Amino acid sequence: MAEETLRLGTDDQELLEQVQVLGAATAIELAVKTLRQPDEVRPKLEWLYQAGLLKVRHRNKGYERNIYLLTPEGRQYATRVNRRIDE
Amino acid sequence: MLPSQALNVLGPGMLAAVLALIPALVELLRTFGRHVRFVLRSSVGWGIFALNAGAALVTYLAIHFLFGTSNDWLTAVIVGLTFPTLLRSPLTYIKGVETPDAEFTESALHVLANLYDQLLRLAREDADAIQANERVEIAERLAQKHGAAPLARQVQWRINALADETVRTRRQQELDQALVVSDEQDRGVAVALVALDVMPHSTIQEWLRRRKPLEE
Repeated sequence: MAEETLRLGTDDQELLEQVQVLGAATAIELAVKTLRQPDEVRPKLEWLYQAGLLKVRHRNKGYERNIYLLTPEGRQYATRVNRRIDE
Repeated sequence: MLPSQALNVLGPGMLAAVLALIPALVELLRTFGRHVRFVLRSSVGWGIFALNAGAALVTYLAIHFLFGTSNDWLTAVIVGLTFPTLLRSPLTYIKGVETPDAEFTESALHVLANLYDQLLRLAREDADAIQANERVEIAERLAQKHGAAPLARQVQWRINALADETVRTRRQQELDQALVVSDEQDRGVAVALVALDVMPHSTIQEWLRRRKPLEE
């Protein structure tokens, strides 16, 4: 099966790298670490989740409900620096 | 089987199971270091212990009933200390020529070793999620109790005192970013998360225990 390469922006790449550094993290923590607004980060995390690069663990209680972790594919992308579709 | 006979078999069997836990614990300590407590709080972590102990017990019982060894306690020690290699090594029973089309060897133990690797990966994932959950849980409690501004003031003092300029600049950026978060609830949690990275553990614990909120 051929591997399709995903088009990732710098922001997406940075988020994946941060999840890899932290192991697992919430949207707010990732926003602080990447110096962005949580509302800016949440849709990107959702996109990365839909793309199969992140998986979500749901918290039973608390204000922030989702914890994001890398999927095996996400781990590959997190280690590739400046990966682009046209490479 | 009489109860005393069963005890004579199960006693050494339990010893083998307990001995098999030692390499499992060393392995987890080596893999996760000081974060091992998060693994021990995950069901997968306990699953690893159960798998090691259970497999050692089964191996011991198989050896006992198949070969009828004379010294059960010695057998138990040998099984307990050597069995872990079976779970972790790709020992090959039948070896085929490796070609690009058939890259794996035909070894049941290889499959077992791969499964064990997967289990360790799952334990790491569980530990990471538990750790992230604990961080945000503490941050939420701090934010709720003290609010963003008083926490930020304390964190700012600490950042000003940091010796390493690169670290100081980075932490300052994180705090500045946390303070401009538009949603009030998000802002409190964001500042508290910076506090978790910057403040000593004892201070965080003291803030959690405090009855009165920090003064602005």
